[in-house]
Amino acid sequence: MRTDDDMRGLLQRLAPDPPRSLTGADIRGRADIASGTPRAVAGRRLLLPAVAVLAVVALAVAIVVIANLSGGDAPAGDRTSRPIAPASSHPAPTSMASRSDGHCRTSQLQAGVYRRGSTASAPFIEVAVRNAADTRCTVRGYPRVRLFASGHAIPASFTHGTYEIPASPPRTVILGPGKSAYFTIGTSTGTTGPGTTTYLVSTIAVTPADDTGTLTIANAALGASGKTGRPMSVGLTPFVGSPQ
Amino acid sequence: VVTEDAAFDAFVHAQQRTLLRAAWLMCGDWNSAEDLVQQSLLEIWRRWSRVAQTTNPTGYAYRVLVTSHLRTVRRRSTSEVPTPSFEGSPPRGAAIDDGIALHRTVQDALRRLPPRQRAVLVCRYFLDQTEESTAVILGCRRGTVKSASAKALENLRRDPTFATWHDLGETNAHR
Repeated sequence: MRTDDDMRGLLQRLAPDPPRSLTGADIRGRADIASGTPRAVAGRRLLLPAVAVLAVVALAVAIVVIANLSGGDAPAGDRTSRPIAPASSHPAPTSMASRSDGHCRTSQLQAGVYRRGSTASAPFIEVAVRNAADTRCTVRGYPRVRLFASGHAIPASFTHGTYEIPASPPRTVILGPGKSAYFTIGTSTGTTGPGTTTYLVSTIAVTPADDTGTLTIANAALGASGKTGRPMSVGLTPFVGSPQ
Repeated sequence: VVTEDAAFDAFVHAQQRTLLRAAWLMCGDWNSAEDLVQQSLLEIWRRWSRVAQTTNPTGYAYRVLVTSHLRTVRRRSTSEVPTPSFEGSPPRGAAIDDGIALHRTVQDALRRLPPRQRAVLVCRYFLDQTEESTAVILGCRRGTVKSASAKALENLRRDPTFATWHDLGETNAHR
């Protein structure tokens, strides 16, 4: 490393292009989800409509007062029937009709096999969980998974990380409408011979960490083997925003 | 009239690639880098009305990015444990062109630097900040930046895999 320019050139060459872009709308949307309001600065932005409502009410009151003062010969019934809405009928505007915590509900998600493969007798499938709703939501952490073969649940013990993908800390993935989050399930087929059991996992039930419902993947076709009578060792990765 | 939303969107559009690449250099992987940049931009958006009034919103973004990264590294219960990709050094004389592996070697050498030294290198040589600006970004004195930068470069020079890469790179460049 002879000069500063060497170092500049090195870092510029080393840093690759990002796999995807971020947009301001993404960030603002994330602020909405984090705060439960359509704007992170909702309080400030609601000032204007609140002032406008108050102004309208004040104007209506002023018109009525002026009309009452100038219309002394009008029938009493006319005065009382003037359409003055009480202040309570103009509630302060709320940011949202109902607050949402932003977590994806199972009812708005779809799941399917995105990719499958195997390395060193360690098959895996990468599962895509798609937000099929029109609203943005988040998934976080490790999903809960149950494996089924021939209609029966397979006893399994889960570990974080698979043969190819090391364990990583949970992260929050924002799913815009139509966007997917991904996680990987890895098993082993290396244990064979007497005293072992081999399964072909046909169905996988997935429950996002933040919900209680279940998504079903019917075409899993994932091999797994282990010692008979002991739980099958299954590796899991957390939800991430792009395929791994 | 440019709204706050539009101004912020334009800012993100202009800066996101640089921020993501800088974050990648500091974090070492895209997932962590995207998390870091999203978190930093979120923080900036929450203060956007004030940030937009400053003379240097970009410098502020760099500061948020770097300090967020260092704060995250400090908070981690398990500190970074860089894992070498190779048993020893890559063979001398290998062509740099067929070296995704060599590229990885340099990345590993950077990862072996302490996070603060790596952050100084990223500020000085990737984000092209002066020593003074880097000191503002890191919240330290100029002298601290100078010594951290010198130590980082010295550590890289002493890293055998990095030295090999550098020799190969120069050989390749002179072909």
